[in-house]
Amino acid sequence: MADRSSHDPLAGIAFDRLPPAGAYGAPGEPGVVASTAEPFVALVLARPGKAASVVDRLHRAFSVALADRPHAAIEGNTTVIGTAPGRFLVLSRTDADLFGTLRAILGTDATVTEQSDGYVTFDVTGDRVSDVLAKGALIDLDPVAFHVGDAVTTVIAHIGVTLWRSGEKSWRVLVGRSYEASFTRFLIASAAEYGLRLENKGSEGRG
Amino acid sequence: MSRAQRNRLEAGGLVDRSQVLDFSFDGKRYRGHAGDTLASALLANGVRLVGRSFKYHRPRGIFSAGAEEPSALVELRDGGRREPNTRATVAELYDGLEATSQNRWPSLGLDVLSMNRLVAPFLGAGFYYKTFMWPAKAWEKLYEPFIRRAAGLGRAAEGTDPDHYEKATTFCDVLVIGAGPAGLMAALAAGRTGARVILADEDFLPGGRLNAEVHEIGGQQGAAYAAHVAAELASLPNVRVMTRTTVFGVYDGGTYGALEKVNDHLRVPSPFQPRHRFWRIVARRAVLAAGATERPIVFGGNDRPGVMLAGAVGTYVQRFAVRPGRHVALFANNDAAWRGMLAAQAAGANVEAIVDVRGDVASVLTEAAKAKDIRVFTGARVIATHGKKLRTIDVASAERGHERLYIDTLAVSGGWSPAVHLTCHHGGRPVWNEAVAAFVPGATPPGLSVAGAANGSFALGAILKEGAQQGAEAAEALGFPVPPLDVPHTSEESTALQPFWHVADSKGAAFVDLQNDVTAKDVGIAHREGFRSVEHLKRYTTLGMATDQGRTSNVTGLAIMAELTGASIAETGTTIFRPPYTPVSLGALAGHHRGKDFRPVRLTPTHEWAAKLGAVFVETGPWLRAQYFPRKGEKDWLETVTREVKAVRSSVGLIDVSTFGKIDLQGPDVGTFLDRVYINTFSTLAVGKARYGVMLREDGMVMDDGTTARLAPEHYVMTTTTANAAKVYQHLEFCLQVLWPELDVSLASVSEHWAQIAIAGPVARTVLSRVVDKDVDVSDAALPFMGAIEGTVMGGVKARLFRLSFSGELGYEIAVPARQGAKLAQALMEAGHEYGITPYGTEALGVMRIEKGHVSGNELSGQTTAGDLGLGRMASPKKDYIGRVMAGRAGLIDPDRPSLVGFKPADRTKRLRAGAHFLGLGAPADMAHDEGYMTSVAYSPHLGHWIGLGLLKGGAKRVGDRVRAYDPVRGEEFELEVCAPGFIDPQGERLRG
Repeated sequence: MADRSSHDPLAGIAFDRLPPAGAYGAPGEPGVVASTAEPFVALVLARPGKAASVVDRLHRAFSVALADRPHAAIEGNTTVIGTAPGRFLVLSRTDADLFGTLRAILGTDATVTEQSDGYVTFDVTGDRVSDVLAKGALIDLDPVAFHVGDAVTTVIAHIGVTLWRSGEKSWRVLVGRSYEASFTRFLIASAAEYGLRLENKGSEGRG
Repeated sequence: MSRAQRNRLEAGGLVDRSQVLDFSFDGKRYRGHAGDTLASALLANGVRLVGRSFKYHRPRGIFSAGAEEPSALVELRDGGRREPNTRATVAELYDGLEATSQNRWPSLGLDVLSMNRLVAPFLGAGFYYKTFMWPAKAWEKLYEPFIRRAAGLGRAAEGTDPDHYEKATTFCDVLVIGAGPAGLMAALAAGRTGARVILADEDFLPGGRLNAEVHEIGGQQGAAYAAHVAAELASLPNVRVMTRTTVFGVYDGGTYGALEKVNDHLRVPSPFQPRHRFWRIVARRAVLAAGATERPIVFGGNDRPGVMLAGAVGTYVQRFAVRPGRHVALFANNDAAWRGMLAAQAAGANVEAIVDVRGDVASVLTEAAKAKDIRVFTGARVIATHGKKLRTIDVASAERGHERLYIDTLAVSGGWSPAVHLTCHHGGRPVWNEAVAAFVPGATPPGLSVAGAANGSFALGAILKEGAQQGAEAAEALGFPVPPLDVPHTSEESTALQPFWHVADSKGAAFVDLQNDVTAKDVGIAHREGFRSVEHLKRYTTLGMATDQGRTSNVTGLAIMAELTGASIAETGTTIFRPPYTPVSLGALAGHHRGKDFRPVRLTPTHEWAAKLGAVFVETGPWLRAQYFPRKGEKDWLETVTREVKAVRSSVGLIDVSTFGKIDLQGPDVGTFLDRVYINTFSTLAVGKARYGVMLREDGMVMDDGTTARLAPEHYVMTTTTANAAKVYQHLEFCLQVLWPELDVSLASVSEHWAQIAIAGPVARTVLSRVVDKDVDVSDAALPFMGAIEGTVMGGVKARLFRLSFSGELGYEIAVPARQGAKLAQALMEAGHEYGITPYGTEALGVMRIEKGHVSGNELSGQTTAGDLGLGRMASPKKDYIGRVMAGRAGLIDPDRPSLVGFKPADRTKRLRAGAHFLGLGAPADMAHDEGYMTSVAYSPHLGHWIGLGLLKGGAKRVGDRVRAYDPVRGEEFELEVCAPGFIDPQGERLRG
């Protein structure tokens, strides 16, 4: 791009295309590795007065322990994120009929909305992930304050995201499909000084 | 050829003599060392004249050794990196640094505009308010260009900044601002409790005054002790030491703004590193340990290169091992300045005289000075200076009369002003403390305490103690257990001082504010003319403005005003400080959000597909949408768009409409809910049907429009306009959560999940029938106009099919999961190949909706009612809905309100322009006769001329009238025919075909 120079980590990367997989920023062992996935996603909204029952039914179905706070409960291939009272995002790496599964589990206690094509997730791992995310989120992501399983819905670089800490050095960020390129640009720019390896699976498989 | 650093001391200091750095100033090459600032390196090389003053172009030198510098402003770097008004005193020296002086012409040594001094009587305080008023024309042609040339600072960069900048947020329990003795102790005390601590300092070397003065702390040299503490802090995992980081502002909720100069100490930033980083530091508690700024004494000729703050002289000698000059004298009113000068003498500076305004100075100091052959003048004043660069000073005392001394460096100290700036950022007003003769912090922002010199404690022992105490208290207040901390011993030191501001009987211009060339006389003028409050003094004289914000001048200025008014300094008061504490680069505030990254861009599911077809894209809010699809040989967009429209009207075309907001509503109360948010009724909508709806804001104006379909008894799906998608969703959430929490309705945005492609044209059904799966019936009977069904397409892909039309043609919208969107577009292209199916963009969409008379964003402007848009009859009189009452206000139902009609040019060859105003035939072109304006225009391929929609006074009843389109912006004026807003198929036969 004309207004960028070689000192800019975004130099030469088209702003309106998905940046290709590869190494970005500082050479050497990357401080951050990011890979995208397209899990099956559904939004569960408890009907009035049914939040406790929904928590219970999800627990019985997926063995997930849901806390009464923004929280990601991960069990096997299923992740359940509580984003608001009675509001849960359910992600599955394997269940193509997640919508049907949840309808069966929840009955009339909750409404279920298919969201599988609405989101892409970024699995972000490495020593410098919290430093990179701190360049976007106004949230205390210091590993001493933001523990494994903590989740938050916030804004990064003007992009609405839900993110959670999935392991000691691994984080997951859920981003609206249409923002995938822009969020990738945020990662490239912000991880440049630590080095970024981008593993872009594109729309090939489900993650 | 670099010259030797002739003023560098043989030993001492905190510079690394093994690292030689080359740099240049005004094209001349010099050498310095790692650890130097540009100022210290210039002084080491004997460079004393570094700039010209703002107004009078007087020669100026280096006045300070820190952020308070008013004079030594230079341009650093060049090209896109050129950076004007950089304080040489805080610019860290790097190899290859290139600096130039500014505000001089043709050269620093010979500045023609220094003649300004001859007209100085006319350039005094308030001169711009009084002079150059006549003749009026001369202002633009003569006065302003002259003033701009004369009173400039540096030149801004002209090219694009090649570097990048970042923003980041960090959190801590205790933020310590300043890494001088108080800050180091505060960070240590808090850090040892286990609290998360951030210690931020603008310098590249922690230690503050410990690096600039000679002290013994717990048996160690001050600088060594600072290094020792800094090392311990660095070793604590819960402590983060941020050097080169200036905390510049205090904001709400314990948020502090800070600028980290990540790469200013290098010629070119390291690859992939930002130049600056803007930090938001969110701290539960903060300790301000920003130290104090020395203030000068005002006397005639106090601005010559060679006149310098006494602390700066000490700093150059002790920290940088540089003699600022060959013959040094001190002019002071306090003991601390004496100690600094004696230490400088011991380190190798040639101190020849000490002039103190006090008649009585502690004998321990006078004896020590005399023992070193320093001449001592007590009860004395400097009354004049001479030389372009300082050569001599005249000293007057009762005891010895007048005497001229050959001095090239005059250290000046009038005492110290605590750096209270950040305490003012929530409106706190500093208070005068007579005991220390300084303004000390008043009310501080919540969670912020102040320690050390910033709090008016100037003795080192007290500073260390206060720092440790404040650090510990901050951590303790947050519940951290505080282990005992031994504050190391340091010797007692006197801080005796006698307030003294101005040598009233001195000769020559006596400068209060060196940066703005404000003299003591100017303060007198302000006083005589009645600008006596400190706020008026500041505005009238510009005292305390510009890059240094009056760090060395505010207190002296108001003290001189106090002398004139006879009020005390406490009564006179002080101006307060707003952020930022020091200048902040705009690049850092923007971070990566520049150019096309100003905000994120959203890509539609068919973006790649459209790009391959050669689409030209347009930004619609955050979205990039295909605007039109040019083909080879088409001469402009109009030709392309006309082709696209004709293809749709005669055969079939398709467009991605995924950007519309899409909201799923589920639950038994959805019908009731929709009846309350739309003006028309939805509870009666049959399953399998869609309806066009209009919603109002509370004030009765139209908020948005769109179609909502009922897919199942308890399941509706709403569409909104692209622009209002988020706003409508937020509005619905508000209604459910706040207004009607009793309704059992679930809302989910599905805008991202569903791609939606519209196909339109006489053969649209045929094309559609080829992509739906076998069991899906899209016949007119099964899917009539405004029908909505669920089914599958392309072999099992879930789909929602809506028979809707924005274009006025037989049309459908097909929703599939977003990742199937491009595949669907391609499938439709193949299915419609034999009919010449044509992809079209937002321009053709716009043309067709104008031909059809549909309203869009231009008409849904937030200033129009449903009635204005011809939609008034949709409103149900049988129910209540948001906006109903306010929409009934007299002004909103006035039949004369401008309302929607169509327009054709009387002369069909004329091109209509949106924004043109309507005037009656023969009416004068003024606001009184304004009858509304054109909202949307298009060239209608159907009619073969331009058409428009607009809001005309009287609206529908004017159909058949003629009015004028008046467009002063483009200088056009011609006649229009008023017509009904529907230029094609007014009966809607095509839709139902």
